Amino acid sequence: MFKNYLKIALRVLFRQRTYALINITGLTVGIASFVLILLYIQNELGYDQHIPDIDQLYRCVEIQHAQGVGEQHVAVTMGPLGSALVSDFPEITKKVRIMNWGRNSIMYEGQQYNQDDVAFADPTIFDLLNIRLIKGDTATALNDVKSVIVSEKVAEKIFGSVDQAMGKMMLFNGKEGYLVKGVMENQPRLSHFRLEMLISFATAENQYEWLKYWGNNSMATYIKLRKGTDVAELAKKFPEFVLKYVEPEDESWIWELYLQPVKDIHLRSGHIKFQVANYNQGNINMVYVFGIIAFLIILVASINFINLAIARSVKRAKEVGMRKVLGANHWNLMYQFLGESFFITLISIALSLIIIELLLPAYNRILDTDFHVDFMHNDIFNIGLLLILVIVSLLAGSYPAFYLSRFRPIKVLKNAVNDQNGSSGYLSKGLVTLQFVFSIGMLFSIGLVFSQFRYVLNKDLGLNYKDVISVPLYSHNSEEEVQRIRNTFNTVPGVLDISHVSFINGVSGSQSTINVDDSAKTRIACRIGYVDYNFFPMMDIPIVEGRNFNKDFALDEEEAVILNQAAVDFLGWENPIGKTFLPIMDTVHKRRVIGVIRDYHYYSLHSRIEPAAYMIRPESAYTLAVKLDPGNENETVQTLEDKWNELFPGVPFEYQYASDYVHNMYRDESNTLKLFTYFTLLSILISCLGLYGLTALMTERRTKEIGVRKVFGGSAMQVMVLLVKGYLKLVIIASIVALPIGWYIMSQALDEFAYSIHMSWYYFIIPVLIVSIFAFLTTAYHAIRAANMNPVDAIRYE
Amino acid sequence: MIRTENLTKVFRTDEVETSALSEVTFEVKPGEFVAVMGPSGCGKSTLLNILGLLDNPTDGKYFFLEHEVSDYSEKQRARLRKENIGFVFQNFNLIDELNVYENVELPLIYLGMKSTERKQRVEEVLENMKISHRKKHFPLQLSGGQQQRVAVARAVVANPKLILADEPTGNLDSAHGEEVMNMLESLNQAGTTLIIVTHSQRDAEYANRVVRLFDGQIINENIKGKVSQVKI
Repeated sequence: MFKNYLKIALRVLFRQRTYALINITGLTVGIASFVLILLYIQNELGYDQHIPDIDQLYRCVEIQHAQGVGEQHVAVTMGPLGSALVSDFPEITKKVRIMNWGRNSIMYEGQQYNQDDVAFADPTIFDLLNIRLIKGDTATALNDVKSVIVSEKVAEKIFGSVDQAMGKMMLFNGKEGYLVKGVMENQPRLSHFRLEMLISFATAENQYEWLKYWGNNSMATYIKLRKGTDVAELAKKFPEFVLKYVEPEDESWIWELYLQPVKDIHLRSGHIKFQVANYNQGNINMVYVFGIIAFLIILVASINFINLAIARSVKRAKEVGMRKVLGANHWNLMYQFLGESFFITLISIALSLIIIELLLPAYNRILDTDFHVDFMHNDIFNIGLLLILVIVSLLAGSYPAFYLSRFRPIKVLKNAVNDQNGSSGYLSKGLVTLQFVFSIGMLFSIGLVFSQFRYVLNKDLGLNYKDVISVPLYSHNSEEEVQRIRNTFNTVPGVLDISHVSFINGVSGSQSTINVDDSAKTRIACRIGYVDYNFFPMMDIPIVEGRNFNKDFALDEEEAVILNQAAVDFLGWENPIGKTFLPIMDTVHKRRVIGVIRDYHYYSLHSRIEPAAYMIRPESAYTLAVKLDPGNENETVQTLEDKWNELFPGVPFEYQYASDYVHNMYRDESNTLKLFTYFTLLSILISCLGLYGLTALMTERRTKEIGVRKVFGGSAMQVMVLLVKGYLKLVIIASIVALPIGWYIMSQALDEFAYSIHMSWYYFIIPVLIVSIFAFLTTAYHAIRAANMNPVDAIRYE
Repeated sequence: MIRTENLTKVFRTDEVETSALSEVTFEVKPGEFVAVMGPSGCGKSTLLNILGLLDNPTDGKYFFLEHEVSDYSEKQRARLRKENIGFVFQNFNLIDELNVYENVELPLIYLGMKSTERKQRVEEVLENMKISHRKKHFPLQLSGGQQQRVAVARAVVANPKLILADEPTGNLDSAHGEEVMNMLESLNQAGTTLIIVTHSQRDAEYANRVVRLFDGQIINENIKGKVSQVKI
């Protein structure tokens, strides 16, 4: 019996090649997309799974109520927090503090290396975050001041091999020697932190006195809870805990503490600022969006299958009827048709695996991943494929199987099967409408997402990054050295201007609360920017009140500050010029406001512009912003590199275009957008494919009707209109369903941006037009063929 | 073998009620060869469908092998059907996707026969029907006569007690038609009960009884050599 089914299935496939092709293509593309999306989702959900007891691990997050900024969640904490938590709460067994030391220049045997991802960490990091040593002893490696652990990768880069790294001394920032006391395994790709060098936390404590006190948020604190601890219960005790350590009279430091599960860090940290570690931060909403797309794509492909099967049922009806006459029962036929869909799905899965293999390199490039098809080690993948096989076979095959096996043999043999109307007719139309709903909804979303993205990339950020490169300096570069670099660079033809700043965007990464010199003790949380005399004019940032820093004013460097409008607005000053602040950060003198700049976006459009205060402080500025003459930038950059190499032989010259910095801020979004677009277009393509097949069959079935209409005087045009009208009606119905849902979802999505586009009418009309045109073209093609047929041939049909 | 009492079939749509058979009472004994004749629309095919357990009557009784089957569900009818009845249609109704051999084999598959046994049976029947040289061909590659021979082979392969043929020569030329009728006659002579529905007087002459239907009623029965008038 099975052999018989298989044989029939193969022959049906071969005979009705077009439909088999449509089905298999649709399912193949659908399954391939589904699997690719699943790999992405598996990847996103797989972060930090290598950490044992991850369910007991939490990151401390503070909710601050900062003046000028409002409520903000920050993942930086104070030095004593971890130890206080462990000593105050028996439920908390361990803590580890990690403090980023950013980028460092390291000297070993006369060669200089720039090293990112250097951090101070407590020795508990080995245990809590599963850092494994290849060399060295976890019990001692991070205990002493100036002891360092390097990753396998760094060991090979600097020392040539893991074995040679141990016990070596490196110079940090040109002066201090650090001893290599361990080599750790490279971090797994799916880890929320990237650590290439770990330095004992004792080193930091030795170096920075303020780490011992409450009041400065600069490190991440992770804690481990005793098994079975009720986190909600524990959290209830935190307000009291905070009050115990924070001086009550200092209102600005009122903050709340909560624990974020470490397993949530990768996907659920969108609202958290100042994260010491969150490499490749993900977004749970994107996981949901892609999950939905994956499901829709499979659904759309299955709908094609169902629709084509129903449409072909007239052709299959004779076979079904005859089988029933000859003794087949309902189940025999169910098995047969389910078997066929199983078979087609199996072929499609096999083909989709080939497609996946071919697409993976490009896919990995887009997502910066290293997915591969792995039957041996990826059980989820195998189970997933098996589930696809079963679910798609059932989804796609069950209705046709049920529908066809229900045929009354006598009706079939009398040619009395007519499923244009009745339940299957409605089902078929319903399913096509559903496909239109998906297509319109997705096109609508793509349109908006694209426009938002274009808006973000092209929006006037308020400063001019055009033709500007940023050259990172090192913390050990002395003021004289920086001056020497500036002087040398200034001689290069093609260099228009140079500015010495904390970062290319004008602000340093941190936020500080500064005090107005008034009796009310007004405070404001500000981004602090270290700039020079050139920065604002060079970046086309207008001064709206007062003046820029000026070398003619000898005290500007020591005593002047420039604010942005957001700061002035928060402080409510009508005449800000001349107002004074108490010494800012670790400076000595009071600072007088000499000017106000127009607000500009120093970060992405996701975040609002916060208050900012700018000072001249060359010793804390580690970037040279160089404005180039447009036209021969490459040549200029090459000359700059040559000059750099003359000044610092052996020290790599690094630079980045400021425009790339802007693009990088949206890189994740841009990649996600690409994927979203590809998969959406694929799902629309599958829908069209199905529609093409369906209309072909529908038109074929109406051939006789068309013939009769023509015999009695209907024109080809009238016949065509008749056929096309039916589908356009479905498009209209689909629009009525899809657009409100799309509007609702996209409004929420756009809310994630602090600045977003307005949904104009054309965003709603264009998707409907596109789908209508597609529907029109596919139906019209068949309709024209049918309408131009010789009527006699049409009547003879059947 | 077959007995009907006041068999009635009415087709109802929302507005119209059409009576296809009206109180038909008749009997077919084992081994008989009965031809049912009558003009188009007289109810011949309806009668054949009910006799073949493809449809239920609206009223009246139908005894098939002494079972009263008029109320049987499709499931019960299907079981009786596959074990006892073979069908031959005017338009052959072969499955295009299966070749000659596989078409003939199909009833045996649904009877759950073992494959070696099936092979033997099918080969034998194809041989008898003189179509075994075409067993790898598909229906569309055959002439009408050949297709109908395959259909007859399929009808007899399971050794049914009753064969029902609906216009078996309707789509064939006279030479092929005669061939098929000879085949059916020899089956009857071998003991199979046969009922055919036909327009053709020549085909009817093969039967040993001719039943004439008009407007859903039997108007006369003609046993070879004598005519019996049925009261209307």
